[in-house]
Amino acid sequence: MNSLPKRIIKETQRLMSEPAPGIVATPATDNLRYFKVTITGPAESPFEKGFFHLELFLTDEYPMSPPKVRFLTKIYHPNIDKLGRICLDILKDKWSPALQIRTVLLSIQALLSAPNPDDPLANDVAEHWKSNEKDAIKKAREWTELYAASSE
Amino acid sequence: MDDNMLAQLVDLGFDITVAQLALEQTNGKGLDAAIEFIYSFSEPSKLSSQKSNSNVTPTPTPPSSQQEPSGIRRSNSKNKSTSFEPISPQVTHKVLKTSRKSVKESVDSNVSYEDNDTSLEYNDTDEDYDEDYYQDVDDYEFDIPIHDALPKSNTVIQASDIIHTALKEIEKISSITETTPSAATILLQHFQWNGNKLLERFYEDPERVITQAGIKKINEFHTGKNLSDDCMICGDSLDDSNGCYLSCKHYACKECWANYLRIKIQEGESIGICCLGFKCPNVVPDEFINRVIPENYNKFLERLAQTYVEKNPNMRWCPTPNCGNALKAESQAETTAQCSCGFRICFKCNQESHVPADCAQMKTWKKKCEDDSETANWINVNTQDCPKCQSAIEKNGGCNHMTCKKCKHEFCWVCLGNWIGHNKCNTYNREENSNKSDTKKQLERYLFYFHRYNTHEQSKKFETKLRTDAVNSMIDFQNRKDKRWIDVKYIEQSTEVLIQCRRTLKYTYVFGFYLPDGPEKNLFEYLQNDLERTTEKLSGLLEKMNESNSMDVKEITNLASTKLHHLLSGVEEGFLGH
Repeated sequence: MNSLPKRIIKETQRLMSEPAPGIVATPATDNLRYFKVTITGPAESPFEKGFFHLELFLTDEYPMSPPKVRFLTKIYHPNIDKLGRICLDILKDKWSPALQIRTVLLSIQALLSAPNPDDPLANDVAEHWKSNEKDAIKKAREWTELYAASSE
Repeated sequence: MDDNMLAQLVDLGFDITVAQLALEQTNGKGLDAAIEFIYSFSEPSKLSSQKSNSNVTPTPTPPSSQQEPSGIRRSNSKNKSTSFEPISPQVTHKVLKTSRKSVKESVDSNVSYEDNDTSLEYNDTDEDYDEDYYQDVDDYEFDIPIHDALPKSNTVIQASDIIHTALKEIEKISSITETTPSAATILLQHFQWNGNKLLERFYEDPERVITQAGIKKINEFHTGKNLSDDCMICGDSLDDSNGCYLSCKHYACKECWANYLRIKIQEGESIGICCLGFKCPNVVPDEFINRVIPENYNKFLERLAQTYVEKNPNMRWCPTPNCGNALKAESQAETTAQCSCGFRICFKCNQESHVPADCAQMKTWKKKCEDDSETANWINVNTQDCPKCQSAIEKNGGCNHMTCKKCKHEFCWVCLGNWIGHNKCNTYNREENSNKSDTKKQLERYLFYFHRYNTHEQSKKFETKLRTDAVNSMIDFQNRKDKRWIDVKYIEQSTEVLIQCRRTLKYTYVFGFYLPDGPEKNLFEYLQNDLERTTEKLSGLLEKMNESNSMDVKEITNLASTKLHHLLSGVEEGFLGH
């Protein structure tokens, strides 16, 4: 295996020593490019009190290419599909090598606070959100209780 | 007599002083001798070889055998200057001037030693030469300049010149607007490479133009001096040797910049890559890219050429595989252009030029051809049976006048009718089909047109072969008959006219298919038939090319050219004058 770039080592150290509020990211012991991530649902969102597990992988091209991030916990969100893939511009064309794991995870946390049904990935969820926001939020809350209750 | 010859020489495109000199030097031996004299300067190798081989016949004359096809083609335009109808006077004038100049220059530079050589040459030659010369004079007196029915007002830009042209344009705009070359490139792209329009707008309101073009901010780039920060990408410390940044001060090391830019280019971003800072609008200047990844420079030029042609509404790539030339029309009103490789393109749909049918007709026609291809395929097999002895015949040349090898029956490939007394096979005979069902009639009508379209298409496939043949027979004639290239280049011109006729005829069947019945159609079909017959005649003549039919070929070429012109102008202006 290639030696780990200085940047990844630095980022990992900082993530461990001064973690962002509501975000825990731990590298796997056998692969330091693979991170187990837990994001706590932001307050005043339908995802409040939920623990959402994600996986994050830094490709060989990182930081020139964005990290690969995916939700492992089921979530009712217009920009996240049932496979956990996330529709977020900075993970695609708006990626800049100046961004970091921390900034990516903060952006995902912000996406949970502010769903964007106009740029949907899960079409039926987005439709639901647009036609009856109240009902959609209710369902998202139910899903949070159902699937994201455990911090494990 | 002398004045008369002088006038003829000038008519042929020679400079008057050259002509005078030539006549003086050849002591009035005649027009041909004078021309020979002039050409001996521009082709010195010919002279020397003739000297040594003048009594040994027939030896290949070096100029002809050495002549590359492209060389011959270029000279094509030279002859156009002597044609009856100079269609684009400006271009003609320019060409004429340069050709005169080149002849004159060579005369000037070689004049001292050529004096001796020419006298030697005349001492060496025997009576044969004189015979030839009289024959040639006859030729000249009745010579028919071949004219071209389709005007060529476009410019062909050779692949190697495209980048050069683009860079020159960028340099010009950059110096006038006092912007960096990268900014000039973006401005030019915004104005579709129309430099004049750009400058006009720029002088009105430079600020507005710059914002409209999307130039967020183009920065000077710096290399590190006293940098305290680490590289924001890899975290390595920066020093004077590796730190680079734009005015936005996103510090990174050279290696990270290189990786970043390589990935961006790989992803297909061309001009206007932004700084690597998050949401930083600063555009990375091309000079910077070329400094950081110098190996990318060729790719950069490629991209530049690509955008130069693609963003320019007056330019198209030649669609011929591996041609690489670009075609530039004089104005947007131009609909067709011809490449030096012979391909003629329709500027609107990027397909082969399809006059007289229009783009919409071609689209429906092509769709129809695809839809009906199953039926059309089995009907349009590549062979046909001889109408007399039923032997299967495969067509291997362009002419539709077929002679069965077995029974010697002569027939028309298109209608399978007897060739003798055959004059009209382009009109769909509706009465013959009066008692068939509508669908069947529709299909037959379509197949009738499709068959003819396809036949011309097939003939056109021999185009390349025709062109090579033309060049070969030109070389052959020059070798065998000791003719000059000016005497034989009509072969190439005739071939070009033939190709034009075939191409146009092919598309007249698409046009005809969509033309409603009526007097207009009758007139159109009459002209079409006329052109078709002339084209067949020309095709036949060119296939059995020999020295004695040169006059016929020239005559028929001009006839075909005129008829093509009539047909096209008829379509354009309406046949009945409304």
